[in-house]
Amino acid sequence: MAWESRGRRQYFYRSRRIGARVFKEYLGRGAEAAAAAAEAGARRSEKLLELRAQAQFDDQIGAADALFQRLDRLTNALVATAMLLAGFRQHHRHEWRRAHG
Amino acid sequence: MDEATIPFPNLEDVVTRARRGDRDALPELRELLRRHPDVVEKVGDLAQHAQQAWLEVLTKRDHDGTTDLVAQEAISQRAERLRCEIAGQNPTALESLVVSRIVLCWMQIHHADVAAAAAAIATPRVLETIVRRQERLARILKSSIDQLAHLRRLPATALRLVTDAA
Repeated sequence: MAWESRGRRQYFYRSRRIGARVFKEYLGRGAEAAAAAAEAGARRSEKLLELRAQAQFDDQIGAADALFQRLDRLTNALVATAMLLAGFRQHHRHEWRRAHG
Repeated sequence: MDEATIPFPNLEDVVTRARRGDRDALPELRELLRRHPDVVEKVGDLAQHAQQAWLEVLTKRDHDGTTDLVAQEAISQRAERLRCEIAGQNPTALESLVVSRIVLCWMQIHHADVAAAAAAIATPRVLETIVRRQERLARILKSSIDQLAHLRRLPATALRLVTDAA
């Protein structure tokens, strides 16, 4: 989506995907073009805001979350160790039952 | 905590093999525990690091990056009360570890609730991330509670049995 220069004038084009193909749609330089350009600008700003907010959230919790995930995996492994060594087997990754034989 | 301070990094692999019915894996697990009797304690240290990290996340002020020490103390005390209530009297080291994970889930769920409500970051994409986190934390919380119930049903934990047998 962009303004493109043709001679001294600028014309607005909008990209549209139909199936697997992308088409360039000519909107000219009138009111429709201005509205589409404003809409495209607003969408870009919104996307940028989303990306920034996501990055900020990831930064905020990243290190603490990594520690927790590691703890979670190790705790699962230790609990499973205890259960297996006590003679239990896990059925369908949920219920622990005493193994027979 | 760096990787080297956690004994036997291949623990998860051996457990996976044991779960799949590999008979060689159980003696290997016994041997690993015999050689590293402090493994639960070491992972307990990791739990403390994780709790401190989450306390900082929960109490860091967004506008200037400083820490609200009063809030940190209040959350810390509340976490400790929760830990005592859930752990009960004389928990084994492994039960304490599972309780630590429950407390950490509680802290993270609290964080996720606040984050979801905060208009500043509650853009649809972030909100989606937070909702997925809440769902994952709820699953971990439920599984931790189940694990604690399983461990409490054991006459003694396998770790203690192994220590006694060694």
